[in-house]
Amino acid sequence: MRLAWHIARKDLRRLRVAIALWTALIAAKLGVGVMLIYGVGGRFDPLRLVSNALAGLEAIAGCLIVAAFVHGDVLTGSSSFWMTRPVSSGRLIGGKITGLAVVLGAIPLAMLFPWWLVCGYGAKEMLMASVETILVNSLFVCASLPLATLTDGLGRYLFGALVFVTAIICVSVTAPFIPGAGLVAVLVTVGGGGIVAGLFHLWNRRVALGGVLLSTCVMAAVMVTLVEMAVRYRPAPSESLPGPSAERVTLSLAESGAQDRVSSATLALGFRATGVPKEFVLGGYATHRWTWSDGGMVEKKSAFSADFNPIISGRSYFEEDTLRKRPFRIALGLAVESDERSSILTSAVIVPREFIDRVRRDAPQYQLSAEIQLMRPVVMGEKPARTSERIVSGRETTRIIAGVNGSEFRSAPFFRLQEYQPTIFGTENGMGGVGPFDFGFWPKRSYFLVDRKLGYLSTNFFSEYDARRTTVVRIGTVGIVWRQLSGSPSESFPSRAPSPPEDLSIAKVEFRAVERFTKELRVDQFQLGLSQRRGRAAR
Amino acid sequence: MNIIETTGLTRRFGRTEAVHDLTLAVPEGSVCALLGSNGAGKSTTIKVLMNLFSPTAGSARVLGVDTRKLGERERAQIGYVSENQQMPLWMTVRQLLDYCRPFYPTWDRALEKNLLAQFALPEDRKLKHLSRGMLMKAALLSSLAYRPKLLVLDEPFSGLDPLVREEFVRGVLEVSESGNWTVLVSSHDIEEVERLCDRVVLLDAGRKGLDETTEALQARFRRVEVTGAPAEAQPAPTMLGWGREGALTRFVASDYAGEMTERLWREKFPGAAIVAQPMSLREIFITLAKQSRTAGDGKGAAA
Repeated sequence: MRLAWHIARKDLRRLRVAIALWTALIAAKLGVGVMLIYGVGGRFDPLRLVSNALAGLEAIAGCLIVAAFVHGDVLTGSSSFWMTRPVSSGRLIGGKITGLAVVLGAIPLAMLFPWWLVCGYGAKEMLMASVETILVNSLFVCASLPLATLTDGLGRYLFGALVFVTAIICVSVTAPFIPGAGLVAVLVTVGGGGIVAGLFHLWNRRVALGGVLLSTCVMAAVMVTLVEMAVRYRPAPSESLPGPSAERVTLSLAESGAQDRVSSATLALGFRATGVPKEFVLGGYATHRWTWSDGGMVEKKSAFSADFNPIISGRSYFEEDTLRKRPFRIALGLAVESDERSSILTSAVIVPREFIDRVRRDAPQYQLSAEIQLMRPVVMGEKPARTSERIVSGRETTRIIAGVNGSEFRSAPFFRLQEYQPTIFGTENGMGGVGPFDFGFWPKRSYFLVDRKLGYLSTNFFSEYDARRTTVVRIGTVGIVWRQLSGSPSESFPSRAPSPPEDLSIAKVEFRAVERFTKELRVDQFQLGLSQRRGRAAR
Repeated sequence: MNIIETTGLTRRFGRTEAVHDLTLAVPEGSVCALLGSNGAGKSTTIKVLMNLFSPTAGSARVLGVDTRKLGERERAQIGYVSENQQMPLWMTVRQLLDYCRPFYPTWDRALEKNLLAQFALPEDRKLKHLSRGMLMKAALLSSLAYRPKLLVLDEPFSGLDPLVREEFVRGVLEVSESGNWTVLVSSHDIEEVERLCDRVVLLDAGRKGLDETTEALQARFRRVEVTGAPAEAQPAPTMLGWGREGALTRFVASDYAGEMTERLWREKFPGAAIVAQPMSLREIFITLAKQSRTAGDGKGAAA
């Protein structure tokens, strides 16, 4: 251990400038985090870009630091200094791991500790965040180590990395629609590279190094595969909660539309759901299957978006009046107007252009298998719409960082929210939002502007980045997102005029699943456009 | 006890055989030179002995251990200096010594100090700012200060000016004479090696040409000039580089054994004047190399 530390100290001294830059990079990232948390330093988008750039730099710097550590005692050839000294490969590995543990473990953790305190982390969260930080930084080691051990300097390392990156880009560009192509690229990079390097060192009788490389990279490949699969193929909830609504709810295909792109198209499907109890909303997961008379079949999976969620709507997909949003009511005791319109579910899948062309030429049979989730909105907290008010629920903190009472281009007041929470292991964010996601793209928690005086809710929320999709910035395991809530009444209450901010409050709402069940639907002739006239519900 | 032993050692790189069936024994306390022209297999042999290459066939043992199993304990008793060794150039001389010291339980601070003074190395200068000669001396210092049982020098004199060579050789000589050290030095710089070694192994195209003490080698080789040899006189197999210029016949005798050999020459060249002179190691090496080339089959050096 003493000699391993001796080797590590040598590397730390050699790389002191690089380590100082690495430290500065982490500090800069945390600086952006502080600006985001306290709503200073400009708009969200530029800060998000800076944060993303710093995250990219951090990944590159992490990989280069790993390479620099390895290249301090080159493992290839026969002229390296350490090879003729009493340094076994096991001791060398020990030294390198110790050095990397300091740079990629101890230094980031020490710097992140105050940041976590600022963000209100408890002991357990800090422990989890530490593990996550170390695991993320370990990915730099896994990604960089194989190539670094096979090269004898930065030049060859960069050349090898360039070849790898080019290969991955080629795979991504040439096979974007092949399921798992990205996964294969990751596996080839991390697992395959590690196995090649491990075998190389075993062949050269560096048993310890070869063994460590092989086992680490195989483990990393398995880990990456599991994470990749968890993200890509988010499984449907295994727990089935059929309730009384399961029988009453019926689905019918309302409309389908497509937006063509160069080589692909977005196919959007709108479904009308009847029998949905008041005060409830729907979400879910869909499996679509198109079958032609010649036996051809295409199957796609996608998430359902609920009534008020504006992810898929607009002229590009549907005729506007067909799928109007339903007013949304939450249990706030408001005297909101009743609306008896049926619920709307929308779902979109990306398909090749050829698929759309074929559907237009030859209408296939369509079958939907829908996993429906019936959710009840519950108010987690409500605060006056004033700057610096906070809504704290569980591990999430929401702060109103700005409130503007109308402007030249806005007729209604709008508010900027800043929301942050631990995003440990990415299990509770993913896909562009802070807060747990339940089914697919739909955040389980959301915000509403409440006008208690006039008695309406505004559901017109959007992030500063994209009106249809919130974007999260992850800084040191903390997820941060800015949202803007418009005080304009939703289209469901067109007659109402906006109220002044002092009459508004902001409510944080969580959607809790009450029932889960499966519905199926079959359409004999699936057509783009007015297909609802020809479809029929299977049950 | 032999510090180095090889038996039928062979090392191939693809179809090229760098070392062929080399059997060698270097006794403890000897200073052995591996001689040979470029590509003779000297560095490959040393790298196999240092476990930088593994043997394709045969075996090699250093300090009684199979080279493939050389561990930290054995390496702590071996000093290695090579012209091609990658030194940590970012370190200063002092940092190099500080870095190396903990790896060697037998590190001698007093010897380190003496050698530092003897080699006149600037402690605070980075290795990358040292001249080639200084760098080699720094490498030698870091390999001598722990009093290794075996010192391996692979082409240590390449690119060094005469003054630095002198200092280098003097350093090795002083240290090796102060203890029962074994030194293996590979070089094609024969003059320097001649001062150092007491044993010579000649390699030619990966094969061992000769292996004997310098004393024995210089004793059995003579440059001979015969004036008035009969015209019909033919060279014996042990008479190398046979040539005639008028009445003068020249050759190199590779089996000189004193009075007995001279008597045989007088019988072979009756009435002729015979002058036999001792040869330097360099002259012997050149004679054998020429003979090897003339023979063409790579075995001619086995005189």
